[in-house]
Amino acid sequence: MSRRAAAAPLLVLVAALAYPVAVLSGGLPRFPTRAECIHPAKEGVPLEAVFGRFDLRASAEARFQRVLAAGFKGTKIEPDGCGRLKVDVAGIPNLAVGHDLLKEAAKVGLTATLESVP
Amino acid sequence: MSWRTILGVVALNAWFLVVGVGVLFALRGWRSWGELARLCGLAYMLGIAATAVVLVWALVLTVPFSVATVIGAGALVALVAAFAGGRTGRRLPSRPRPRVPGWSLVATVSAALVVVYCEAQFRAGRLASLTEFDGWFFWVAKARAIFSFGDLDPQFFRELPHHGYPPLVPTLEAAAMRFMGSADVVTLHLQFWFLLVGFVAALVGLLAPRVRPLFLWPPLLLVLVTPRVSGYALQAQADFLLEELLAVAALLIGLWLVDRSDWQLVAAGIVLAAAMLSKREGALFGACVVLAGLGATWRQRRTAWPRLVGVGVAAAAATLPWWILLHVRGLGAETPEAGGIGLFSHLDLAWPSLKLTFSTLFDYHQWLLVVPVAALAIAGAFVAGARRLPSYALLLFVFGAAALTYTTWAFPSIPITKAPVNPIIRLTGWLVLVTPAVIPLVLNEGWDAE
Repeated sequence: MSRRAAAAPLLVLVAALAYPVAVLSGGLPRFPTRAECIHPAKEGVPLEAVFGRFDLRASAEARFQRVLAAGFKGTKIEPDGCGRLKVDVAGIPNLAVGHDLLKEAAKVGLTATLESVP
Repeated sequence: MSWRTILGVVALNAWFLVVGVGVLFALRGWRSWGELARLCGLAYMLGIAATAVVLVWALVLTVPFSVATVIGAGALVALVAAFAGGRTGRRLPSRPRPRVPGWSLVATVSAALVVVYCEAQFRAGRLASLTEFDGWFFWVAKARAIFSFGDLDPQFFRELPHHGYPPLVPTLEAAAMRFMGSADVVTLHLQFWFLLVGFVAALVGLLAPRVRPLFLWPPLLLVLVTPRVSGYALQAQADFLLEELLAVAALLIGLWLVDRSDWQLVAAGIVLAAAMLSKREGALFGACVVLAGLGATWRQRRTAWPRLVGVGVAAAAATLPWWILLHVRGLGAETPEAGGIGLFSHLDLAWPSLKLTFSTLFDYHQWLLVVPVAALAIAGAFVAGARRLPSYALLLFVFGAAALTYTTWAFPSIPITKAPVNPIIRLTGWLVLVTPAVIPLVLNEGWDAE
């Protein structure tokens, strides 16, 4: 095999290796965690009270019924965008109203978090 | 996405390659192991086409769909091929002797660019989400049904949109899901990466020893970097698979015009059968390929036409089980709204449909300069004195443009627009992908004629 004949496939091989090496030199791809689906509440954006996230539909349904029975109208079950279901009440206009809602929930034994709607 | 699912897709496509090597052995054999390596792309396309067609037949016959079915269908194809090859006296060459063919600078640099391009496509495809509308609306939904139920569930397929669309692509996707072990719609995009790589390898393998590198590589690179191909080739729907199959069939028939080797027609028939089972338009565009071949062999029609017509008829016959199943289930074939004489009731749509076809084919933002380059190449070859292949290519584009016009004209309810509601951009891809398959042959013949 002549030197020139060997150089051509070698060049292709170098290019084939150079690309992944260049890409991987910046580190492996980063995947968002499920925690990144939770957006902290802040003033000036739509807010929601989340009564829990669940992997199973049945668990979400049970919490939904409990929240509804406690009188929180407008409660619904939604996908959270990270493969889980969340039970939430949306349409909270500001932080003050949101904190009042959390206190109401605590009085009936429900835990909720105030979050920004993405 | 995990290594296990990726390895599943790799295993499936390795199996298609093995089956295709068997088909290639039956059709033509190989003089050396280097020649087999060069033709691996074609072997892969033949393997996937033949296996997928048999799998569709198996589903129609209610054979339960599983990994064993996929392996069994491939084994059946490979066994029949090996038997046929043995009957025709084919023998394997002696043990391999390492030999690297001489590569020109153009070939070397272009091959390096294509390899890097394919790596970049893999990187994009391995984490691509299923956002394409038709993909999640019915193509992948059908695949998931085949994966989950193991058959063409009558109720599901009746109620799903576009039940009349041929099922080869969902079958292929379901095979990938079976090998992955789950309905992983992200990793599924890698199946379409293998198809793209197989298509490119088939073109290069068939053309490299016959045409000058300058005629082969630049058209191929130009098509690969078009916004449409680079951005959409891995979508989990039928368009690009259909177009890749049609382009390979068009190339095989173009080669037959030069060589008159019957294996090229049989291979074209296998690939066309898969194309016709991929999308409804497969039959229309496949007919364009055959018609272009008929037109280019006008002077030898007595000997050439029966063979070419035979290819078209055999390919169409392979789709019959599917149409029979639709009929038995009382489902419509979803024929065009204004097909046949219905076109004459909508004559006002003819000119706008034609204009839409041409404006899309020449749309720089979709296809760069592929079609103008193809037109110039055909014209240049005619001027240089070549006739056979430029005529074939010209007829391909003329019939192809007419067929594309029909796809808009025959559906009056679809707006005449390039917006996604009209599939014209996706459909024009078949003539774009035909370009790197046929134009290198045209350029080469023109160069030799001068």
